[in-house]
Amino acid sequence: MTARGSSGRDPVIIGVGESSAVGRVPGKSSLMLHAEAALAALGDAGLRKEDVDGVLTNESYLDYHVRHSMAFAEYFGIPSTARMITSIPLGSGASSGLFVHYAANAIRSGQCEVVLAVSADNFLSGLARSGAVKALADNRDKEFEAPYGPALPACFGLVAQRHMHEYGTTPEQLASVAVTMRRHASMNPRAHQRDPITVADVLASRPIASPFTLLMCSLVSDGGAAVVVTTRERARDLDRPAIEILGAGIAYGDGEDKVPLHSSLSQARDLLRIGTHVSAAQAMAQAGVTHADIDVLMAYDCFAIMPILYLEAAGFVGAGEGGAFFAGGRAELGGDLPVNPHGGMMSYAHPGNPGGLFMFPELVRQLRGECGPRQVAGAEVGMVTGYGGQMAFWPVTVLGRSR
Amino acid sequence: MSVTEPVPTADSEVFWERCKAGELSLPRCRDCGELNWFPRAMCRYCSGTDMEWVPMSGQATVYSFSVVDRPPSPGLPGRYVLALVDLDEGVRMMTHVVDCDPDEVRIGMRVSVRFQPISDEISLPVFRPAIP
Repeated sequence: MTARGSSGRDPVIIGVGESSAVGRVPGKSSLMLHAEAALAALGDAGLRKEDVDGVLTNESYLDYHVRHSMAFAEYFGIPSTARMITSIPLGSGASSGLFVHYAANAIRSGQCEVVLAVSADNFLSGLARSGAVKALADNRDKEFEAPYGPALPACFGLVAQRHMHEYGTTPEQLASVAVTMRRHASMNPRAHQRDPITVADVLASRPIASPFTLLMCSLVSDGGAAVVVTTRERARDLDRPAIEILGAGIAYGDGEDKVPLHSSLSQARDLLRIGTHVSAAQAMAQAGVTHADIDVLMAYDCFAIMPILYLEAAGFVGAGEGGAFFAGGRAELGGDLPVNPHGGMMSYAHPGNPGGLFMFPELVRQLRGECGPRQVAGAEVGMVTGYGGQMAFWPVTVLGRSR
Repeated sequence: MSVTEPVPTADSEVFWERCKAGELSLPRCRDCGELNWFPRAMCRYCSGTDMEWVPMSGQATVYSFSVVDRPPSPGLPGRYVLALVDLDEGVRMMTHVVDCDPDEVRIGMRVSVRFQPISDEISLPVFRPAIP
């Protein structure tokens, strides 16, 4: 890793936290799950809510507020001296990556000293599963997509079928992604689903939308996560282990020059050419790291095809090689590049919008060396990938242990 | 067939009128010659506003598909084929592949448009296997 010019205003992650439980957490409102996660993250940082002057939230599928971030700030008791309170729209799996980018910019510019990014939802308890599926299906272009019933698994089924067609990726390889996530979750006492599964179990589970069976899809869970970002200087005063935001990249569409971007899935030019190839290169260049430096990859695993695509687009393997990487156990703990050691959204938790935000607490704890049996040995640098819209925007973040 | 009925806008009302008449037409920019999909009054390539409605051949190739076994709502059939098809004119549309066994659908398969009325106003373009 090359040395970068450092400044006291460099943004660092000083605290992470989650709701008291994830999975099935009945009897708690969406805002209460936010508040639990926020309090836990501030406690981890050694800060109080009175120290917070920036708040970022997602909106909620279930608990709609015209100004969601303000509704949370009111509920939680953020002081009136805050200088940034804003939310990122629904349907954005990228929002957790964007949270950290926006928080880092607010810190670096001097707008804020302590930014709390929080997202939560009672996606399982607050809504029947069919209702959750319907809510997500309504998140398509209302005129030229929604009439065709583009259920979320089917939208990603289109991506997976194309990958299988172009590269020969197999159902067994897709199943191995689910098996990897479950194996990791089995070592995580907080995970929503912990019972080990086999490739045969995954293939035998109920068909949902080809090529996906039930176990190739992410969970529907309750829960929330939060991240606290501050300056390097403030972190020194707090005497807590700070994790550095080394690099951040974003790309839209396929990331190519001069080509109009898309928001809707059907407007994508090439479902397999994702902008992560650009944003990963940006983030790694900014961080001054190469692929060999990355010890752990957090990949937004809404469906089994996506971690495969991220591995390929970010350049860890060649195009079409991601399936074999998983099937060969190379993404498991102890493998070449462990992916989602917490169990991912396929086995740890996926409460809707917050699903991707859980990638950050896990990576921060991995880099601090706090993960017990699922610890990636010697983890110093990690990457978080995600997407938003319908395969439409692609944030990548590189975090590292202070050195 | 569907639960979400499209509500035409000023950008799209001609598209839906033509569909109702059994014709698939898209706006083409007279300034740069590009087809625009979804329909819009300003060209997304050159910002021109001189658009003409051009009939498509209705012939297309399946780019990708997914056989849905779990419909998102009660109004949809129990098993259907969500697809992206590439019109011969170069535009990609989301649609259904119909009038065949879902297990027979393949990427690269040639398909032809037909129109499925879902209300007095709206006929959805769907695609069936092309007759060789």
